[in-house]
Amino acid sequence: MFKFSDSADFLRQFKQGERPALEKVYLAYVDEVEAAVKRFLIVGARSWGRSARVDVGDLVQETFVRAFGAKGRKSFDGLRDYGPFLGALTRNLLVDWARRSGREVPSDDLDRFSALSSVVVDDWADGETMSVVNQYIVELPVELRELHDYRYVQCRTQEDTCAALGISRQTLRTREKHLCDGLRRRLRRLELAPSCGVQASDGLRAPVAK
Amino acid sequence: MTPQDELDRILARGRLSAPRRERIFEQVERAVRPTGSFLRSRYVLVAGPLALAAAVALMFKPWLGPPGGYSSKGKRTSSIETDCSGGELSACPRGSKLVFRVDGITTPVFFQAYAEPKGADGERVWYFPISGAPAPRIEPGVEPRTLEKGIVVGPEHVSGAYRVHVVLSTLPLSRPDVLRAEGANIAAVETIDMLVVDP
Repeated sequence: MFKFSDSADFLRQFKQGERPALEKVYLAYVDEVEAAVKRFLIVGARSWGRSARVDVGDLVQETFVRAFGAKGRKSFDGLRDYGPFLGALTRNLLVDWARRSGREVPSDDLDRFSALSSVVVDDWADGETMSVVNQYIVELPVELRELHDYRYVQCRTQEDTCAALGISRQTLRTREKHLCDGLRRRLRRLELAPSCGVQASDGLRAPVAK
Repeated sequence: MTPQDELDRILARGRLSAPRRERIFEQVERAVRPTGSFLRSRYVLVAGPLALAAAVALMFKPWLGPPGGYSSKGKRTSSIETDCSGGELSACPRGSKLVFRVDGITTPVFFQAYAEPKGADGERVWYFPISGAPAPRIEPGVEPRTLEKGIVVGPEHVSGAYRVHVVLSTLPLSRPDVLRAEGANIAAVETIDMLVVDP
């Protein structure tokens, strides 16, 4: 984690919307924003029911678009920590989103959604699909299992992964493609998904927060 | 969410995988990219002349909207955003609400819209204007403007593909004028593909 107050130059780069600065802030906070979005959806799902399909990634994207837009960058003064600022922005965006889409805003203490901290959700697909995916991962050859661990478990960047595994970007992309293609084929063979995945997509299937 | 997003999600066991995060950042960066860095990017060298050619072409056919495509939730089609409250536009369950947002307008405009079935089944469905609900007027603003009235995807929609036509104009239009979507009053025209599915 870093602080904007550590470097006036970094704050200037961020304020100007320079890509390296935005990327650094994004990587520093994407975990927390994802967790806050999931927590909001978990609580909301109690009243919305299971039929709704919401993508966590789409809301994370909307959050950062708002945070990194000209107005969002301008309104951050650089004196405070960015976490609480981003947390409040995330909460407002989620409330706006719920109202806009005709969903009841969760009545639980909304401040909990702005308290950016981790949450674990383990109900990410139906049981059969989860079983197939777990089996697929266990059976992967070593090089793909390592890749899966770095990119899908540890969520490491391409740069980190390439350095750790001693491979080029091209090799990384090729292995990722093999990894995805293999799972896609297996799911299709078992008729578990129309295109590639599963019906669940959202964290709205009453996931279990640990 | 694309099929690739879905696959990444289950490979990451419900989390946002690194590949998905990278795609999200690219989308964010594109959405907020300052003009200066955009002009410095190498893509402009290629895209610039193409954009210029497109702009010239549009000057001669200003009433033509961009070709439709499924807009995923929250995704923009230039100045008009559309959401299906019960899912995605690529699979919008009957009974859901369509929510429209308009961005980038500098003068008040009137909002007209209808859905045209792409297949043989179904009839054209009018959203605005309809009896008792004239085209709403939208005021310009810094933030995107959300239409106060959502459109229920009701039983008049058969299951199948529709193309939603949105016409913004500086004066309220009659239905025939909306269908023509030509003339000096037309401020913008958008088409958005939608697949209505059983709930």
